[in-house]
Amino acid sequence: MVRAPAERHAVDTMNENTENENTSGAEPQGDAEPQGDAEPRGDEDLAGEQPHGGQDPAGEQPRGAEEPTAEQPTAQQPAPEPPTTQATAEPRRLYRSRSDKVIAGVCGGLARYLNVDPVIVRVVAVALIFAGGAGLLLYAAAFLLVPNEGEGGGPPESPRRLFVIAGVIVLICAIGALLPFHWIWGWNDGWDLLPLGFLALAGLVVWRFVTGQRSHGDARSVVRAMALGVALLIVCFVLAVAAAWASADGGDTVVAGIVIAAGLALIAGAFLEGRARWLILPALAVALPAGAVSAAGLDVTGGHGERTYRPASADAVRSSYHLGAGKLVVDLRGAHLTPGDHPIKVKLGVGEARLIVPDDVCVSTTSHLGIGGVQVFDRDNGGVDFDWEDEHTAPASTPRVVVDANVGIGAFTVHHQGDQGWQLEPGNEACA
Amino acid sequence: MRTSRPDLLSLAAGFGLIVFGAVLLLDAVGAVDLSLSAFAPLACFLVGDVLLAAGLTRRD
Repeated sequence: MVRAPAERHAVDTMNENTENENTSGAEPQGDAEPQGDAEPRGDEDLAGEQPHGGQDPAGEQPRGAEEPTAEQPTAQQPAPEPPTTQATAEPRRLYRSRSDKVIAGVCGGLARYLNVDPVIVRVVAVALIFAGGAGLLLYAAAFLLVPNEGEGGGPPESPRRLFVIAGVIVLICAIGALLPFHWIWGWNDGWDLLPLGFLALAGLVVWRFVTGQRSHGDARSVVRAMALGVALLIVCFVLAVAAAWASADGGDTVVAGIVIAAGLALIAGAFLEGRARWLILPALAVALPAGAVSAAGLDVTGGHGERTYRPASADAVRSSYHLGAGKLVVDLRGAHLTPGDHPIKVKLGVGEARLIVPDDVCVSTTSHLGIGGVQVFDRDNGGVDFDWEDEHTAPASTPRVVVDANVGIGAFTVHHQGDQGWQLEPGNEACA
Repeated sequence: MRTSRPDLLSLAAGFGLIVFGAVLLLDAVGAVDLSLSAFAPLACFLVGDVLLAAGLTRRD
C-alpha cells in the first residue's frame, strides 16, 4: 500500500515518538511495517491503516494492540470483523432483509437464513398464496413477528412501496376484468378470491398503522398499533354494514349521495394540505358495500322472516311473491291449476325461495341470481351474477307455471315435494 | 415560501368516489343496471386508484 506524503510524515512522526527504536526514522514500506519479529497478519494491515492514532501499534504493542485496532477500523478501508467466540455461540436469527426485498424482505431474509436462492423462496411463497391463501397469512405473520435487519436503529419503513405494488395489482385486475377474453383466466369463477382480496386490503390498513406507530418494532408498539388498526376496521365494518343495509332497504339514492359528497369533500380537502384524508377509508367502507348490494340486486324492502303461501285455488295464486330476507315458500299443490300458463314472479333479497308444484304441472323457469344457486328438479346451477333459463312448453291440457325468479343472494329451487332440500329429483315430466 | 399543492391522494380518492357514487346514483334511479360483473372492475378501479395515489404521494 502506498501512502500519501502527508500520511507518511504523520506515521514517521509517530514512529519517532515511540520507544521502539526499530521503527524510528524508518520509512514504512506499505502494509508490511517493520515489525517483522512476530506480528500476526492482522496487525500488519491495521498497522498500516492507523496513521491518525496516538501511537503505532506495530512498534509499541506487539500483542496488546491487536484488539483495539480491530474494533476501530478507519473509514478508508474497514477491516472485517474477526469472528469471536461469543458470536459463534449465538444462534442464527431470522431477520427481514433490507437489501434483498420486494415487499417487506421476508423472503429475502428467509433465503439468507436457509442459505438458498431467494427466487426459490419467492416462488414457494407465491405458490402458497394459491393454496388457500396460506402464503399471505404466513407472510403477514412473518412481517409482524420477524424483526427487520438491523432493527432498533433505523426509522420505520415507508409503506409507499407496498401501496404502489398493491395499487398496480388491483388496477391490472380491473383492466383484465374488462378484457373480452377475461374468462380465460377465470375471472367469473374467481369470485372466491374476493374474500382474500378483502383480507389483503384489511391487512394493508392494519399494516399501515403498525408501521406508522412503531418506532423500534418492540412488541408493545406493535400491539398498540394493531389495536388501533383493528379499531379502525371495526368502525369501517359498522359503516359498511349500515351502508349495505340502507342500500338494500331502499336508501340507495341517499347512500350514493353520501359517497358523492365524500368525494367532493376530499377534493376540497386536497387544497387544504390533505386534511380530509381521514375521510378516504370511511368513504370506501360506505361506497364498496353499497355498490355490491346494488350490483347484486339486493332488496330487503319486502320484509324478512319465513313466509309460506299455499293458495287454495287458481284464482288465489298471486302474480308476484316478494320477500326481503328469509325463506319464501310458494306451495301450489293445493291450487288446482287450470290448463294454460300461470306466470309467477318471485323476488327475494337474501335467503331461499322455494316453489312447490304438483306432479301434473309443467314449470318453465327464467331466473337471475346475484350470488347463489338455482335448482329446478334435476337441474341446477350456481355462481355470481348469472341468468339461468329452463324453458319448456306444455301440452294444451296441461297447466304450465312460468316462473320469473330474481334472487339477490341465496337460492331458488323448484320441487314436487315440500320437504326436499338441495336434492336433485326427477320432474317436469308433464312438459311436452 | 412554501408552495401550496393539492394533495394527490385526496384528489384521486375524491374523483374516484365521485365517479363511483355517480354510477350508484344512476343505478338507484334506474338509468343503468349495475351488475356484479360491472361492479367488480369498478370497485377495483376505485381501490387501485386510492392505493396507487397513496403510494405515489409524499407523506408529510
